[in-house]
Amino acid sequence: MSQLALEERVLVLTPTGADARISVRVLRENGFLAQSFPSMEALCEASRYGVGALLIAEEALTSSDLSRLSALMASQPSWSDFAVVMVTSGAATTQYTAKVFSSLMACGNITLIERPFRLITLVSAMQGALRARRRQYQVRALLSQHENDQQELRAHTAELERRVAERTAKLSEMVSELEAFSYTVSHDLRAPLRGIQGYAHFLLEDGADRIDETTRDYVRHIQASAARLDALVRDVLAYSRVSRSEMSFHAIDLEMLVQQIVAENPTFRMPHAEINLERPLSPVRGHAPSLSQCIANLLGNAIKFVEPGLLPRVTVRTESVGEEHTRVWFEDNGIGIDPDLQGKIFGMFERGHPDRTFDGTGIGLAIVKKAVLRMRGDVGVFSTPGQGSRFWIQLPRA
Amino acid sequence: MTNEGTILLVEDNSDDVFFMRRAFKAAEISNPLQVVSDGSQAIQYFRGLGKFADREAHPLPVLVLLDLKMPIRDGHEVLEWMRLRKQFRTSVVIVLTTSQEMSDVKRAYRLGANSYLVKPSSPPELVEQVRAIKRYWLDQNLFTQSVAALI
Repeated sequence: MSQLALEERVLVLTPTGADARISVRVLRENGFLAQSFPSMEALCEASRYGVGALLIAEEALTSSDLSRLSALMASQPSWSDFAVVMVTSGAATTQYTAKVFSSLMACGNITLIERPFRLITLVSAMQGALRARRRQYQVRALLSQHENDQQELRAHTAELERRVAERTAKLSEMVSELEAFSYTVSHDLRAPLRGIQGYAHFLLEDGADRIDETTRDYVRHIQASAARLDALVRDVLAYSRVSRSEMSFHAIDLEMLVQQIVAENPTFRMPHAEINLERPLSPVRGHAPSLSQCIANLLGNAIKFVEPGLLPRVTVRTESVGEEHTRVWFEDNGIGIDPDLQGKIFGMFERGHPDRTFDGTGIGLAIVKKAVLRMRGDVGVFSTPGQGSRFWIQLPRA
Repeated sequence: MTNEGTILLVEDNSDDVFFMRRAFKAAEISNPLQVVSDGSQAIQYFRGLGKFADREAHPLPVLVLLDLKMPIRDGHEVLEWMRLRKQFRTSVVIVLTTSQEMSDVKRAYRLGANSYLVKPSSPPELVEQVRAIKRYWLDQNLFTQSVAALI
């Protein structure tokens, strides 16, 4: 029997009597696939392969059959609710049968047909039961389709997630390879540079009385070039450090930090420069080593880009921006920056004064920007050529 | 109380070795300077193997100047090797490297470095650094070996 046929079956419980056998015959004659079973146990076993509907004579049910039947009805999946057509004796409903019916009705779909009944009543009840059953099969098909769709969707999602994870892993591997590469290159570049600087130094020191002024000048040029390249490599390393080092944020006493930076750099003090702190400076929140690097770079620039002969003066002050930020200003008396270049100077290798009058690697401000952005802040500049520059960095308030 | 013990320089770059010798002279350090050119040789030296078997010619150092980036076995490995051995657990090791990477600094201290110095790029700065090493580590610092000698 095909699955379809198995699911169209009317399972008839016929333990005794001709009555039940007649029912089977009548059902078959009316086109139903009726199968009779001598016991409730056999019927339950057969029902595992498919049930269209059940036909049971009330008097055929023992109390253990009854619990088997209610268990069978209760154990249906959510889409299933097969009909149990029960032929009753027609005698006055006893207390017992009333209890039987009410307990069965709580478990599922019970239709009672009282004897004597016309055959058409049974046939129409069975037809109704099977029609309803076919609808249930449709629901089952839809549910299973839905489940398949869901599974496909889940599989698809999992596949996408796997691909994203794979690509992320590949990307971060590439990034760390690149970082390792740039670090190694920078590091390996510095070793021969130390060689050049060292031997040039010794050439001047040891050969002072053997080489003429022109040669000495050449050697000084070698030294200057080596020093420039060394500064460049150091800045690239510093940039890579602020780009990838782990940053933890703490409250930073800005006043103390600036004073410390000034103390560590003789060029930030008289007679080279005058740095004024407009006290008090508000504390900020950030990564102290990175902020220290930023401030040193900004002060260094402020002092470097000044008309020759003029004492560089820098004012450092803070102001509140909204509820959550503090802006730190660095205002200088330098040569200022061309308005066209102001937007570009924070880019890598961009220089506000490309004419070589002023030395620089073009990385200092890129380091500042990178570090400040990583500290969830921002950076900018206002400047008029000839009237100094006002650089600012904005950081979360401490 | 100046320590006169041997100093071992572990350095693969011969230029740096040359600069260090000159800086030692300029800083007037009279301690004997022994040089090995990679981590593996440093360990051979400590174990007194091969050409380092003669302890008269190759005495155990009071102070080790250790480069990090070296072929075969790097400075971190040498440090680890030393600190796992009772004999070298209390030796003074100064890391002297070009690396300013926080990961290198942390690892060196974790493995038991006593100090971490970055190589300067010009000879005058190197002389300054070596003078500072002399003033602190040789003139003032107390070594376990010197304590043993006093007892």
